[in-house]
Amino acid sequence: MQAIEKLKAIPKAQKYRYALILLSSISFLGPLAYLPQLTGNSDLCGQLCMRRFYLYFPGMSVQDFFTHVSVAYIGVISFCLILLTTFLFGRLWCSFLCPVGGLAELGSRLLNDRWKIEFRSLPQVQIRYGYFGVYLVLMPLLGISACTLCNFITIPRLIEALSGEYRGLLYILSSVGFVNLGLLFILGFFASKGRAYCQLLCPIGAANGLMNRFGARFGFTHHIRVEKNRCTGCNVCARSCMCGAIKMIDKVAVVEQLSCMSCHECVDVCEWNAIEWTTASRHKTPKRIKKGVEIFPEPKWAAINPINEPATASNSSVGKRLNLGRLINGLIVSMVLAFVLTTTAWNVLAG
Amino acid sequence: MRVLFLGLSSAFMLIIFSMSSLEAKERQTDPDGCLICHALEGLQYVDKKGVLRVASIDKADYFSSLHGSVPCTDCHRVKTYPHDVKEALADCAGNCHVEEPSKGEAFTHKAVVKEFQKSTHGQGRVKDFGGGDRLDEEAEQNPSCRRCHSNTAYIPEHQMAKFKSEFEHTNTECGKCHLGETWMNQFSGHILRRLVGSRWNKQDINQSCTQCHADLKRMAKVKLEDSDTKQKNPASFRWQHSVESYERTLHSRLLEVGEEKGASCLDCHIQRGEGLHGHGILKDEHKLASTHPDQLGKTCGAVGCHEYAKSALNSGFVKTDMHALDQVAIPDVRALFDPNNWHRSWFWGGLISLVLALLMLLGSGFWLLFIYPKAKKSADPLLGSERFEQVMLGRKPKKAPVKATAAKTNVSQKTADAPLPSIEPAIEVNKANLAPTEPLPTSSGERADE
Repeated sequence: MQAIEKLKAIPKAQKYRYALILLSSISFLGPLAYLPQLTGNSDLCGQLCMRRFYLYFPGMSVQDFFTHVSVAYIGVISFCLILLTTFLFGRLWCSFLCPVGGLAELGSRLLNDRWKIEFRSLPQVQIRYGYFGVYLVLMPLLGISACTLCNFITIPRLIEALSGEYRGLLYILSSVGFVNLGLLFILGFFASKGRAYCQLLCPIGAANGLMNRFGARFGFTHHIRVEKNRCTGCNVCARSCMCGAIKMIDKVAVVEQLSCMSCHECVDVCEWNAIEWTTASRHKTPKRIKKGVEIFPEPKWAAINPINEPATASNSSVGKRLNLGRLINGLIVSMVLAFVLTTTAWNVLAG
Repeated sequence: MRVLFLGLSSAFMLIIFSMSSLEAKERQTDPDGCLICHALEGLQYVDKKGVLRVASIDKADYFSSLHGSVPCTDCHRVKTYPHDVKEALADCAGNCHVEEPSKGEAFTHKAVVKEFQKSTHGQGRVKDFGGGDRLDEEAEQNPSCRRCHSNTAYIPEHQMAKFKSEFEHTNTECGKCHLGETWMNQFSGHILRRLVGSRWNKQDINQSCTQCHADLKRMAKVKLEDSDTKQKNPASFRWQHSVESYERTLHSRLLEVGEEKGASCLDCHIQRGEGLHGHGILKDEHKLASTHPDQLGKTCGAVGCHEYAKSALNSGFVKTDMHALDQVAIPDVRALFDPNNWHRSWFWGGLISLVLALLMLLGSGFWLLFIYPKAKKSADPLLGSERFEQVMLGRKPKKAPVKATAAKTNVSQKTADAPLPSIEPAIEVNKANLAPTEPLPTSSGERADE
């Protein structure tokens, strides 16, 4: 009975999202896996791989890159589609469709919160892009195949193992299976809201996050936007946000677009309509002014809040302080660039 | 070995004459008359071991094969009739019927044979290159030429269209220099076959390897010579399951779906270069082997593969394990209890997960019986909830731990109970509302509905 009550309590849009995740899990993962099978694959590997073609190998030529692209062309096309939808509508793939992250999230939501670990307060942008940089340039060089830690292989294989005979089941006991099962449990089922893998390690999520941040710069795209004049600072949205993308700054919800998945839950829980999945206000209708007071002002939907700039003149000293997060972000980007440049130079010099 | 030939009667001769006129597609005239007998259906005998042997040759098959234009005695050097089986064995290393026009020398497979004999497959061959009894061959560990080269149809069907179009213009392109009917007839096909692409595509190549190497029962019997001690030891688990582990790689998976950019067994396992014929598959530990660590850069960096692998910076990349056992299913549940397997990752994986599972089971029981009844029913996550409150929600850290927990329970209640969140900052609400109330068994689902 309690379970039914809980199910009823889920906001309507979220019920729809859970159903969509379940549907996509059935279509993408074994034992049915009928979407991959349309292209002759049994899982999300091979031609469907979305996570390998952009890896950087020292001394790589443009020709090599196109070889990688042509081998996994279906994956490349879907990756581009994902980025396009992300630009226009936010990370809909991640939140509504991705069977790998979605399944972990649903599993986590079935469990009681008190058994879980809270990952959302970690400096996730720095961790994610630090790992993304390592994944892009360092792991190929070291010969750690990107496939070893790829959850797009291991989750389907775990599902396959659980739905097959005992020999398949023993895949879980291999070192690859074991490590990934651990990741699934720690960063999935036993993470608060179950999206810690997506937040911290997923390379598609990282690339998608960059696109989401870029798309949020434009007014015509749909993203999670905040009207800060309506925000009461009740922090219900920040609590329910599964990605830890909403942070209360000066008692106003601020969305970090690098992490936001546009899952819509914050919109569902906000009582004040202060947060919305929408475009920036388009209508430049004149405000009605009565006795010097604006009535029904057009809401200013802002996707990107100037987090690091002083909000008011009074706390301007805060803005001038060194921002450690941004410093690390810059370090990551410059290190990846420096690595690419030095290896290219080394290869040119070595012939 | 004594051979029992069926008697040839005059009636047979009549039938043969009538049959030969029916066969229209002959490419050689059978100058030695072998097909007089061998083309007969049902030409068979019982050998020493009591096995029924079929000696009849399907003319249509033979004439359409690669050697269809070659008289039998060019390879089977039979001089007297009826002949002994041994006398008729073909020797691949012997001189061939074909004369190379550039040098005017008889063609021979000697170079290939030499290379093959040095290879891992050529070790310990007894019968040389005669092929010999197919049944003996089955028992033999090493393959003979014909296990892979089965003299199948000249051009495979999927290459036929391309072959025909290439063949069309041999007169205009090649015929300018290479004059003469003989050359055109004999060689253009040979050369074209190589031009059109090997007779085999990559999937076919893999099939010729896997017909033996995927056979686990056969592989379990294989004994390999240790290069140091010269002792023959049974092949390792990794070696036996090499096909299975290969099938998990992208190399194989691409071929499976018909993507020719994948890598076949031979793409990595033969040395390429001048004067090599692609038959010298060597063991990994051999210095010249394409899979020796020193050669991997060259092998992986082949044109059209991972050309960047030639760079010394990718020395880590080329050592990626292409036959990783991690991906291989365990053959039998009994293998788990075999002490020989106790160093394997899945054994330790199993052991660790067993211990963890036991701990979890016992711990859960202990928690359920002793801790849960007394515990405060909090819905906050086990780890990091305090940090979450401070970092994400901007709550100020509490100094007194008792106060902090009290505030925390209040917050969770507040969000669960209060339908209208207060506009005032949350901390002040907590301070005003410090009186402890009955905690509710809240959960994330309930919290979200407000």
